[in-house]
Amino acid sequence: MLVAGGGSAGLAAAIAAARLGARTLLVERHGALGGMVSAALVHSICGLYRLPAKCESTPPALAHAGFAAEFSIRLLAAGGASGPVRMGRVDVLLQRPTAFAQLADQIVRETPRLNVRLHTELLAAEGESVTLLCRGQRESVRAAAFVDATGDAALAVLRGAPCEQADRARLQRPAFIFALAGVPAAALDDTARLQLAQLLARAVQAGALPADALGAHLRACAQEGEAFVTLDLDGGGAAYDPLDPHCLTQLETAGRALAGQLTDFLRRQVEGFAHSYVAAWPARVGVRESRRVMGRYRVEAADLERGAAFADAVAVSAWPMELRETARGPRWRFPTNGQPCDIPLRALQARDDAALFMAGRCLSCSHEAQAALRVIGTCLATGEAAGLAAGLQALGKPCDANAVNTARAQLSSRG
Amino acid sequence: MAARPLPAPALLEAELVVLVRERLLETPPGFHAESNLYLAGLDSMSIMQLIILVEEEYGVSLPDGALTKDNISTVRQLAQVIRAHAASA
Repeated sequence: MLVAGGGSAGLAAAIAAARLGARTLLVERHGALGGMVSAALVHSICGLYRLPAKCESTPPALAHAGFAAEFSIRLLAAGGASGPVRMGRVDVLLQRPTAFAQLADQIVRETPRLNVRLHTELLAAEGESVTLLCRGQRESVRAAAFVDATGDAALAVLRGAPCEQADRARLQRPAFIFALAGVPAAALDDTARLQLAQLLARAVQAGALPADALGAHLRACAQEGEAFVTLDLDGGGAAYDPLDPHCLTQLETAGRALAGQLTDFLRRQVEGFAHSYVAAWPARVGVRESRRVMGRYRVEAADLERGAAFADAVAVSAWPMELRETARGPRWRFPTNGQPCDIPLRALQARDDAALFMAGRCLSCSHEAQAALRVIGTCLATGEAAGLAAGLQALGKPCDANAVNTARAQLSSRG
Repeated sequence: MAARPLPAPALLEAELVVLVRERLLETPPGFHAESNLYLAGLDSMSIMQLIILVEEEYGVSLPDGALTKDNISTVRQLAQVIRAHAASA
């Protein structure tokens, strides 16, 4: 079978399918696995833990069994993550993108029957055949089942599977994230960050920084002395198109320009930042939402709000809807009962294409629901479920929710 | 947008509840002047936005350091901070 996209969802899908016994090929266009972690420097894993029942002192509990739990525990053990830390009403695991990619490589090396092609794009797909492209060179491969974990539903589009996308004006805004080194920890505690927010707002009002700087957010990283700066970008409002190369080019250059202005301001004006410098640019801007594949079931906002249960549940979502329709901060919508929502197998199965499964942020859901389901913890869980389903199908075995859940339990107990 | 005089305390709180709900945060049902703003999602990004909105709406400039983690955890506290700085301006 073939998994397209080596982000958190695709990694989980490929590992699960190969462990199950299916010969698996994982195709990734960048030079490292990890998707938005490696390429866009997303440095926290959201959606790993259940929502706390009360906000004070409940210890975080993992929401997922299986690969999501395994990966986060191994990342912590390898020193690549810290936390979980409570932010408002949610718990997140801080992690280093370099460690995430290294652990992904290590797990791939441990996994028989799994081949990985980095630096490889999808060129065409029809029936059992997919044409891959690496630097002008084509390669044809065949598979009995497919998982689209490309985030942008790139494989589904090539196969002709129907997709949908929100109005451009409502799409979750993209984020340009860069690493800033030479930042003492004291410059990043809660008090200092609140002070910084006031300084930045003042600077924007005084015209010393562009208004886009209001989309900036600084966070200490799992590595002492480093911080990550997230710049939520407006992307041109209704003109934002995460699938258009002109728009993406503009985002990359505007992101670097704004990052440069902001870093200059921090070095000159803000205590603690005098010796800070840009330690790493992202390989690409972080896209939060684009196409979603039409599945046999579409997860809706109402499902998440009521913590819906489904007979064919194969994963759960424990993250609130985090709407970023503007670049001025998220709007959070929590489930009314605080309960996780089931994700049914049907939301991971393409509506009219029996060989196609999807996971990660292009699964079958509404725009609002995607604001919850797109996060890495949930991507690991939907990826594993889609990989098991596609793997079962490729092996000619029954592929229903019960079989997927049984396979996950067996693999977990074996691991 | 032209700033206008600061309304009476109870009205200011009511206006701020609406401003937070409509222009800043996705507030939960039943959100009121004593609800915790951090639990409704207040973070450093929305605090920047809040500073801009307060200046736009009321012409009150909150100087650096005017806001602390503990003096803006509810709309009621925020209203007090705004009134204090309007009075001292």
